Amino acid sequence: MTGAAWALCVLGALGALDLVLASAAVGRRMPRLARNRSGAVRGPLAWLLAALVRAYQLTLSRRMAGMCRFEPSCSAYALTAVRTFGGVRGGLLACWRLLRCQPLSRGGYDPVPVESARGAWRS
Amino acid sequence: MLDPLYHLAADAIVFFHKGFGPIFGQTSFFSWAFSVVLLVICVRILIFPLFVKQVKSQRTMQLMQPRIKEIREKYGHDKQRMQLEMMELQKEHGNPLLGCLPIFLQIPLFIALFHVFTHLSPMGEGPGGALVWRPRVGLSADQVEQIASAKLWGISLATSFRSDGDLLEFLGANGTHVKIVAVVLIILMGATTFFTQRQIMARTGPVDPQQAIVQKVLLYGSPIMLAIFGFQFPIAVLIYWLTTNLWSMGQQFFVIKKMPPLTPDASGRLPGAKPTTAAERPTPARPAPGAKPAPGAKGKGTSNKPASLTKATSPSTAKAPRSPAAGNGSAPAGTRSPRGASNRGGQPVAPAKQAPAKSAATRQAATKQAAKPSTPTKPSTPAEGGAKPSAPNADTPATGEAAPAAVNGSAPAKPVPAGATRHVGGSRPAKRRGGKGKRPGGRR
Repeated sequence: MTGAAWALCVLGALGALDLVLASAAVGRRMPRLARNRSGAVRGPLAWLLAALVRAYQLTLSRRMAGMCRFEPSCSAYALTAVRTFGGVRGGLLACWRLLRCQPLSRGGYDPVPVESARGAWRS
Repeated sequence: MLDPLYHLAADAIVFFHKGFGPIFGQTSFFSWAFSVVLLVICVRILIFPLFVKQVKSQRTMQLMQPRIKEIREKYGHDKQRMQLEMMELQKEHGNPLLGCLPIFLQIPLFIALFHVFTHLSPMGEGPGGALVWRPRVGLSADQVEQIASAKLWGISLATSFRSDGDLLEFLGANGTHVKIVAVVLIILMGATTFFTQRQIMARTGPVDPQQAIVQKVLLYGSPIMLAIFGFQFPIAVLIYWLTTNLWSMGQQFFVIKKMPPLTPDASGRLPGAKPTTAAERPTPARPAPGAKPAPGAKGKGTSNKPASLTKATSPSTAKAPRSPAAGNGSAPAGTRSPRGASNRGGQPVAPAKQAPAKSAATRQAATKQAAKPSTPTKPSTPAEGGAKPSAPNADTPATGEAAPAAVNGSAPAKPVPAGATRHVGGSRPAKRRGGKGKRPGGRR
């Protein structure tokens, strides 16, 4: 197996673990395992993505501040999304948001969707 | 994936060399080095408009932030309403925000430059791993050879601080000289990065303590990181970095000079922050003397959103010429109303007094807004133009006049009958006038 294949396998495993941890069933059965005290999904992928976004916010975002058309801004959205929905779903949500954040979009208020059925996330 | 960009950049270097070649000599190090510099400058010029836009929207965001916070506190529970309010706010300021995607669109450009500058060297594909010239990044083997083997005191664009003996020998380069030049370039690079970082810190103003620490780390850390990386990369990349750093430094100077940072005023708020206390709230709109009260003028002072932070701070420049376009039946400031009453004396003194007190930043924003086409959706009577802006700028003398006017009750809100003449300074509340002296002209 080549390096790229290994990386893909590891990433897939992390993604699967992340999806399991963020799933509703695990959240209900083992809430302490799935989520930490502040309600963020545990797991390496979510942690990694959140750390990346946080690093961006603390360093680069200052240089590029004031570009985002949305409230909350893309990085804040990404952070909330990853904490709420885990690395895979939250990451996809964040990517989708980044794609929407361009001059053609309307902008405005666009919070992370809340999963009301589960009620796992309270602001 | 980025091959077209690589080819474009590489061909641009060759193209620029056609210009520099006759000047410095076809095989001169300088003609290739200047080609590299010119390419970098061209790329930076290409994305310069993006930078200007970004700085502008950054300033707008800074002005909007207090309002956004307020809206979130007010309507945080109500998604629909919040969306509505945000749209309203963005419409008010115009929407200069480019969005986050344009930032990501620049990244391939820098990757392409970096890629091309690191790949202008021979490859170890000869017999027994010997170095040979090969076509790379869209250039023929011959062209790559020309670029990489152009030397000045044994320094070639393809050599780096860490390049091994094989490469140096193959190129006929002098390792010591390369090391010296690399160190000099790295030091210059670190210095320019440091200064740019400091300028950015100065421009964007104060931050919370956590961010301040990160900034400090960044201020000293990023030059060091760049320097460490700098030892790995060839001279061409170092020249590229130094050029971009110098360019961004110039950009920061330009920004600081043209648009000074917005600093909180005496009351600790940014200019344009909405007043919070009851005394500072905008006074109810007062119709111009001799003008019909605008439809729905009653109670507008409360339901109306306060004037736009950037737009309304300059009533005399921005509002007055626009009022006729608004067409809500009120007489524009400084003109005669249709019914014959002169407005000149009746105009409140506030705007005139206020003008010098305005900060440079808001004035600039206002003039910018004035250049924009009118927005007929905003209801604006000239009197509002006079009364409102007194509130957002809480530090001006005008607030002293606005507050008593609100306290006085119904009197100021009543429209003055048509044809009534008003003496100079008539818009001032009587109480205040009494305190200052009997005559409107002042004490003698």
